[in-house]
Amino acid sequence: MSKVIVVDDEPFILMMIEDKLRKARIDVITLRDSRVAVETIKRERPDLVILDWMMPEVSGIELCRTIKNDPGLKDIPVFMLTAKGQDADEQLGLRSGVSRYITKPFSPKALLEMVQEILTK
Amino acid sequence: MRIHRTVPALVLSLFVALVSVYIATLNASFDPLVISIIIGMFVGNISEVRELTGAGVETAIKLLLPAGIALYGTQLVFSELRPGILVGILCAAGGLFGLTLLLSRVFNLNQKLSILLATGVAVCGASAIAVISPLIGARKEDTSISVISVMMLGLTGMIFFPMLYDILSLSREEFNFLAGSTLPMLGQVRVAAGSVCPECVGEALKIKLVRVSLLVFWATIAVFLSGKEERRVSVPWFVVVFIVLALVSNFTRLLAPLMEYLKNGSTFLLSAALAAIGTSVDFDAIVEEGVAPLGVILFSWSMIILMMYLVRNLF
Amino acid sequence: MAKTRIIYRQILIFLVFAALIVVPLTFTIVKQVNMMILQEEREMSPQQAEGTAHREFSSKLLDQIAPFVFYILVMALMLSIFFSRRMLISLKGLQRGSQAMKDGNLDIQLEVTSDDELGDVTRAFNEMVAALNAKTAELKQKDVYVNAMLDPLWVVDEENTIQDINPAFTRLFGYSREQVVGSSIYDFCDERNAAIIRGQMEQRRDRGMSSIYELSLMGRDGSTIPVLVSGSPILSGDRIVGRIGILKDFRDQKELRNELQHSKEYAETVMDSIEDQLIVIDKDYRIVRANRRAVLESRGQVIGEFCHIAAHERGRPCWTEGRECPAQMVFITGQNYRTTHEHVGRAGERRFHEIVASPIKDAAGNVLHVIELIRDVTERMKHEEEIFNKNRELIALNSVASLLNKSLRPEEIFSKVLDKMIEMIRMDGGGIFFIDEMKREMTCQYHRGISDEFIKTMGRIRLGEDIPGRVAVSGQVLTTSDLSKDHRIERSIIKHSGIKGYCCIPIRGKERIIGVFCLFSFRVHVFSTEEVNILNSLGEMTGVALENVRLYEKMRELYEQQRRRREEEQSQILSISTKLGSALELKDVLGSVLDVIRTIFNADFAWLLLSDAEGNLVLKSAAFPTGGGNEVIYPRGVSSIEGYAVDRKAPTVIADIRAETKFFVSPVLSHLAAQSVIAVPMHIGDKTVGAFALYYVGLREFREEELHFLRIIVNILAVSIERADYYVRAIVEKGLSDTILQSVADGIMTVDRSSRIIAVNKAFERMTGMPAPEAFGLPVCDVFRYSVENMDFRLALGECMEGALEGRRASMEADMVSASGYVIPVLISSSPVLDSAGTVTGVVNLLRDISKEKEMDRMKTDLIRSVSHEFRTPLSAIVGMTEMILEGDVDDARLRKYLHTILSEGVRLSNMVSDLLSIARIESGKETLRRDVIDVNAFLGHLTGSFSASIKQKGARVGYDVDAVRNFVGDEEKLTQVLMNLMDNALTFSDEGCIVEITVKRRDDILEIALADNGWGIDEADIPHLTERFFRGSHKDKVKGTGLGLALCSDIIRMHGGTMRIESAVGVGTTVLLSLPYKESI
Repeated sequence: MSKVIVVDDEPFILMMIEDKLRKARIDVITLRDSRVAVETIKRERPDLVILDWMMPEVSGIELCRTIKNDPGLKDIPVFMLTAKGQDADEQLGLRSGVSRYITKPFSPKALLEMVQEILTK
Repeated sequence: MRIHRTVPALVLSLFVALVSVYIATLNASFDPLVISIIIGMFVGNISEVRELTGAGVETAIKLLLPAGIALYGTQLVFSELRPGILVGILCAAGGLFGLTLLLSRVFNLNQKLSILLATGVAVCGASAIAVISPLIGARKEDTSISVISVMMLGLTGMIFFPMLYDILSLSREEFNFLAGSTLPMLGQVRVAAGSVCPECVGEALKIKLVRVSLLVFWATIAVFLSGKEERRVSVPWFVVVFIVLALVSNFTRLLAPLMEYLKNGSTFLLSAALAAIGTSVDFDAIVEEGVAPLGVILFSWSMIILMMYLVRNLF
Repeated sequence: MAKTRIIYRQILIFLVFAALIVVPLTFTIVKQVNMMILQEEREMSPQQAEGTAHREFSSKLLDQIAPFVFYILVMALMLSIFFSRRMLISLKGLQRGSQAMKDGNLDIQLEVTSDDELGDVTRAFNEMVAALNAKTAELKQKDVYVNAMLDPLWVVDEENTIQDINPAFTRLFGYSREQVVGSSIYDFCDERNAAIIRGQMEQRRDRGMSSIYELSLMGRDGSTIPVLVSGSPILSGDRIVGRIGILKDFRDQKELRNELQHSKEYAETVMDSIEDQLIVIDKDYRIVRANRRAVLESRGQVIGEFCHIAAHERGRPCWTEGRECPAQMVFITGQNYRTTHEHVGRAGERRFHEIVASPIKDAAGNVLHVIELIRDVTERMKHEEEIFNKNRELIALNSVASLLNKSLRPEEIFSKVLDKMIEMIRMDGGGIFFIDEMKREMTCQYHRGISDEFIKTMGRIRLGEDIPGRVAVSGQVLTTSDLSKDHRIERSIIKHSGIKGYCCIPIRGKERIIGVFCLFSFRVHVFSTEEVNILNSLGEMTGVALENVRLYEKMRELYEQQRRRREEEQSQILSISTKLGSALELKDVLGSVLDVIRTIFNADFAWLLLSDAEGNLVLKSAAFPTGGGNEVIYPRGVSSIEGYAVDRKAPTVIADIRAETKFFVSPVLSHLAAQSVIAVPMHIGDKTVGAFALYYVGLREFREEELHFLRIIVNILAVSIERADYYVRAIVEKGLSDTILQSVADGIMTVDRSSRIIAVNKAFERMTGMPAPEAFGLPVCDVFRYSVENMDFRLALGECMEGALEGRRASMEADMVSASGYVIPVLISSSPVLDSAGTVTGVVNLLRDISKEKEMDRMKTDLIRSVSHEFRTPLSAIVGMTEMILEGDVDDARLRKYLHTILSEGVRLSNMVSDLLSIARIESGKETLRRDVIDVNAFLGHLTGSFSASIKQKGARVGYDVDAVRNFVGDEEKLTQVLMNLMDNALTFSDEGCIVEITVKRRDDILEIALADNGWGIDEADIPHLTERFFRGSHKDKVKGTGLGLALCSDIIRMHGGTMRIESAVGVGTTVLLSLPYKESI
């Protein structure tokens, strides 16, 4: 079973994604605190990480850079799920190694499709 | 060994021998041995006859051949052995013998066949082959083809030697030596010499007889050549009888009254033996041997004649 | 022995031929010779006894010939041997080959020894062997296949006698091949099965077709084995010579079939226990099976009825109502199909059915039946519809709000807002009426869903008349569910136009009602309170937006005016200086210059008086030639206005010269009867040059700028006059401080025809960091080489100058990097400098800093961006969760939770909208303050209480110190809002365990409320911007927020007549100081 880690400080976003992915038989670990995210990713070795950009403590983009700069983790694909909808933000995200840049509001169904697509790759 | 199975073959062989001996009396050039083997071959290749004789042929050969060989001892004449002629004959016969063996090797003939051919050419044709073949354990096909080949050679020599006498303008002595030392068979020598001059016949026959008397010598060499080292050469009884008879007939007058019968008997028995051999031989086996044996001996024979001519001209 | 015969015969024939030739020949020769000798003898000696000699002779001759005969015969034998040999080898080879073939060894190839017929035969033989070999291999392989077949197989001939079987047959039935081959197939089955076979055979045989049928055959052990026979004919040409039958073991299938029979009952039980209706539909759309529920629901026999009976109750198929039939969809696509249909129940109630249709396919993939699962989802759908409507309202609200913020074009605002409103409450159309205050009339300016003709017939509506008129007057929203039946509305042009649902909303401006929105529907529409509220607030928002637009437009107009004037002035200055600069003889142009100045200031008369050495004021030039010049107008000592101005060294304005007695007016001007006069002195350094005066016939007031401008012009004149030839150089060399160029904030560069700088101003120096003397003589574009990023700027500048050199004005915007490294957006405008002949002598380039304008643009964009961005997070809950519910992803247990989240996020969104709205209101001045007496202790206690949860979570310590202040007057609600915002900020922008202190102090008639924390602090650069809307400081990536809080606080405090001050240091903490006018009681 594929494993996905979702980091977001909004509990309802986590709930939605968790419910949607669980239903598609994908193992989901949700994190509200972005500070423990890197440790968790190192421990759990997920197949995919979904990050919110705007989080207190450590922002999603920082997390993404940490993951992409870690030789052991850099192959894990990262999705950025954010309310920052400007083109420039998206460019910055993609430059930081984000595989998919998804702007809120998002369709859980479309998200699931993207997750499944990258997991089957 | 069942007698009744041997009888048809034996009877057939003896009958063929009888016929061939009769034919041989018609002309000196007709050799009973050769005629009987040819007739034997023709008769034997009729399938009905083959069925009739069956395995009895082998027995017949084993009976007739040693007997013929044993009696053949009487035909050896040592009285003419004079050193001068002996050396010449030894040279010619030795040359023929060696050259034939050598050429046989070149033409890739089997060893036993080549020994048979060499002996046949060097000594006295069919009878010599008949004598040697059991000693070296030759195959029947080899025996047959060598007999026919040597016969052919002899006939050729017999026809052409008189012409050679005229063309090369040989002296009588020289011609006698040539016929006596190179023609394999007694009858042929007689015809060839006779066609030149009636007086020559005796002289040539003398030389021929010397050659025949050397059979023992050649036979020993042939056995040695064919025999493997490990095989002990046990001297068969018929050889002993052969030698005894040869000695007795040459050095005593003991057998003088019987001599003619013994000689004829030996010829008859050998004819019968060869007839039996001919009967048991397949034509195709002979055909398969082909004319290579003939070629070999013809070639070696011509070489020797040429050398003789050269030697004569040199001295 | 056949094998030797051919050779034997050949040799024999050879010999016979030889003999046939040789023997007669011999005899002929002998006889002939004999005869010849006989004849000879007779002739020679006929008497002699005949015969002896020749008789001997002939035998001798025969003797001679015999060897030759023998020789020839043996020769013939040898030759025959020779010739036979090759033939024999070939023959022997063939013989061996055939023998080998007979023994089954086909792996032979013979050597071709001769190329005669025998060689051909050998070759043919080789080919034959090879062909045979291939054939054998093929047959062997076929045998392997047949033997490897898992299913038994038999081959029967026409008489149904078994010719062959494969090992599988033996395995299945137990008979060995030997037992079976030769026996009839009827031996293996009983009468019944034999009849089946016969039937199949007769039926199919003639047609040569394959057949498949089921049989039971007897095995060796006596058991009956069911098999499925598939037989095919074996054809030889057109004739059937036998049949091949594959007998498939059917025992397992038989069992399966039995099991199926049992399980069918089981399945039916299961089907019946399903709570939803379940029906199976065949290709004719008739129900072939239905579970108990379906039977119950339709109260009667359903099997055999059309499929819509079960679901619809009304007996009309779906497609007649314009919907796709699910069963049809499945039959067409072969895929599962899921849909929700609205049906009308027996009692006329609306019911929603979710229909899931799935195909039942046969092995070939054809759809045979369709299973439909029909579930009553009416309850859920109602729920969903409610959510959906709520959601749509929020989205529309959001889009309206953003639209209002985004757009400054009234037409766009109105048409879009109208569309959104119609969409939001699902109306059929609407219009906007605007009030013409002057005529007290209203006209429809935007409309949807109504024809233009109808609007024309409606014409103008007087205020107070009809519905829009009444609403415009009352300012109250009017709604009616059915217009035609509403007794309140008696007279209306639209009363009987078919419109039913109707509402009219006032658009409120700052102080008055600007117009009304009218929305209508052709159906009955009951307006809910929420809808009315939303409409009301939209009306207000639109009004505010419109006011804003008007204000903005006005502002822009003013700005434009100002700009235009400035440009005008500059161009005038330029034209003056151009004229002065290019003129060789000052006198030639002075008159026309004065005339220009007079025209600029709309004066009736202008002249220039110079003071000579004696102190007399001498006429230098006048706006129109009144005299020769150089005549003394005012001698020294005569009190004139010009003289007065020169003495004061300042411009002097006299409103009415006739009322002034102390100034003497020259008789030259007596005919003019001038009233207002302005006199400007001319100085260079301390030296008095003279004065310039403008005379007006009427009254004239001077604005400060006009004076300033005039002074500048006069300065130029003074300089020109003083040193006419070197005027331009003089300007530069005087340090430029008191010249026009210097007073301009924009950078100015004057260049000659070859684009080399001849003059620059201070602003230019500031921008480029290049002192003026260094700039002289440089090609203008080279000046900006200090930064590579000025590339584009230089290109733009070059382009503008090119235009100017061709005699036209040109302007462009470009980003310029200043000397200190800032990027300044600049408007470059270049104007040509013309001499009197009209040829271009140089170009004046103006570089105007337009960063302020740019900044305004940026802020507007930021505002739009933040709004849309902040709305995204709650929207993702609403949109995403609704989607998941609609998708059926959420089970009932979680459904509540989801709906809760949607609700709370919806509330959050609407809070944000109302935040924005209240700021907009405050700023538009619409909001009024209430005056409450506030108990400070209770106020602060309530405040800290509402934060107890987050205080606890953060481990913060909050204390307050109230210094003898009990009560004060203010708007409690709004001040609570302020302090909650500040408190929230203090707790959010700080680490755990932070300390927050609230102090309330009174200082005379000022109440000071200070809120201090020891949090992260704010960047010094950010502090001035804190109260800007949507401004978010350096922590914006970490913390969510709208950027509206402090803006709102600041607005509220300002409403109270107070001030808000923020002091902060990064890493130390922040203190917010609120100062309010103090009043203890009302």
